[in-house]
Amino acid sequence: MTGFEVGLLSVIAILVLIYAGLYVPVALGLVSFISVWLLRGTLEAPIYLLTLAASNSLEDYIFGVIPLFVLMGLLVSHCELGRDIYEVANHALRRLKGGLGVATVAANAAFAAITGVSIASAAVFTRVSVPEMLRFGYQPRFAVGVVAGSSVLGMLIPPSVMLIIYALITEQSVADLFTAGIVPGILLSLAYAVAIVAMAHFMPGYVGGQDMAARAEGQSKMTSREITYKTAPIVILVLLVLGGIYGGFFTPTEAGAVGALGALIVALLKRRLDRSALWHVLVETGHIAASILMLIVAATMYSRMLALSGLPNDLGEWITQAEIGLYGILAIYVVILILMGTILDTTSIILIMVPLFLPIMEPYGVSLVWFGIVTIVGAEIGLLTPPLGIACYVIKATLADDDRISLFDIFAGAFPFAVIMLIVLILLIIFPGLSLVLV
Amino acid sequence: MSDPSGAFEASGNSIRRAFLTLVAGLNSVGTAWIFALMVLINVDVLARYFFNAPIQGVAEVIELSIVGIVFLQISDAVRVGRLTRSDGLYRQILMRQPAVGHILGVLFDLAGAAFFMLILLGAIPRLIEAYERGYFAGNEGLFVVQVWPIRLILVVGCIVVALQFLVLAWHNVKALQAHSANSGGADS
Repeated sequence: MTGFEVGLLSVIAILVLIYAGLYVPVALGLVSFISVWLLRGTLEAPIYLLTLAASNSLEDYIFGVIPLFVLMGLLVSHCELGRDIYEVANHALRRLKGGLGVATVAANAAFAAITGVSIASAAVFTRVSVPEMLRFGYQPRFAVGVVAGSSVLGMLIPPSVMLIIYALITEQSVADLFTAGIVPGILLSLAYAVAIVAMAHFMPGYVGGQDMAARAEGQSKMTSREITYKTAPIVILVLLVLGGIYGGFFTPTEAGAVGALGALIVALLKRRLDRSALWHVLVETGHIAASILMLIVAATMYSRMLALSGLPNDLGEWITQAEIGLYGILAIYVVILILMGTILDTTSIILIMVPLFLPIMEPYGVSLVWFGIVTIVGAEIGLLTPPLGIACYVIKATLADDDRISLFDIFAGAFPFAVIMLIVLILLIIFPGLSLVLV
Repeated sequence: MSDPSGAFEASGNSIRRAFLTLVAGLNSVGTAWIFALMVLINVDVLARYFFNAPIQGVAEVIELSIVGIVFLQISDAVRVGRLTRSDGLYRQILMRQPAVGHILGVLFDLAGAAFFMLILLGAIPRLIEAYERGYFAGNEGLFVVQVWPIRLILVVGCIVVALQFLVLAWHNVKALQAHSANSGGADS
């Protein structure tokens, strides 16, 4: 078999095995192992590569960011800061049509700036803002759609574990990717907000919740002291972490540690964390961090295997000869991302697709930081689409006993937001400056 | 297997309990390590900015810690089913064709065991090499840390996680047996 054939077959095998339910790192690692064995004809080569991937490639200062940001994210989720920021956003937007929906988006965006785990925000806001919207007569389908749509902001707005994973496998700077996520994150939030207000004006039946009188009555008044008390922890954490990185005071790893300690102090001050809950959070952090880092180990092995097979180069030449141009390639890439997003999780998609397409993009001299933002937004659209929109499943699981809202309602409600994401993605592709302006 | 003696059962149980303790113990060490790392980095940052006295070797400690933490906690992550997988289709299969699902489950768990055994094959010589030649990280005279303990954790972690996969495979075999006993082997 030629390298091209081995490479292509292994990509297909990996996709099939992961879809069937094999552990993602095991699928990536084992298939790559066998492919390298076939390519080199000896067992020493793949064993050497695998061991190197498992130890040497993890022995890097930057990998410290993963456990530390996961820890910070989990601690922040314990502080009920999501509820606080949502109450403040509600208060600020109480006179706006569709205000509760916009408040959900705004609160998610703010929450995303202190946590990097997107699934966490889907669960938090299902508990916090869905009941609130239903209480004020919003349609269930719209309410869960807003939560699903805005939960993806968590992976785009820094700090984000997804941005970190992309940076690690492409050897880009984590700080650059964090910076590049800011404007697209704000753009997507604004697009959601505009769409919600437009829907509330033009399709009031779909949105519901137009009984402003009932709402104003039910709205408790908030003193400015209360507002300060509820927003101060978030502002401080954002300043510490993002300010620390952009100001050049901390490396991303240090920012993760400082943010985690900050979140711990907030949780202790708010008396939301006792010793056993803290231990539980730490154990959970370990599980998540170990499985993410295992993914990176396997992905390192996989990209070495791909490079050995020459598949990405062959594909690149083939595409160059087809003369479809940069936008043609990106169109194909985005379609593949969205299709894969319907059956695989975001991390697996990034780990499989990026090493394959990176060598294809390189001759065009495009920014790999920008390419990362395109990849993440493209792969995240799949979080909102059936059959495997993970954000929608998390919402369903969190609603649990609420029979009024079916999984179908959640997917249907999320659909307009998936379309908005696609429009924003096209804008991000056409105007790379949106991602790169701050970098 | 259908009629194990009491003594066999008892010794099986105590082995199982000992293994669980081992996995949980490794996980606890890793968990405490993450917390210690967070504290260490914060102390370093404080010392650097407020007392102009950075701690030597923090970067090296972080570098080595990651491998240690991952391989201390991976077994427990596997035990509780946290290792990343897309189980949408797999769950459907388990629900509609439990026998097929459990057989797939056995194969997946064996693949997991094989993967970590392969890492182990390369990890053992690297442990011996690091120990015999006294590899260290850091700068001599300032801060030096031996590399072999981390490589020992890698070896131990690989062995334990491979065993954990075998335990999971065994659970699937038992579930398969229970299933075929219930349906009288009719669904084959």
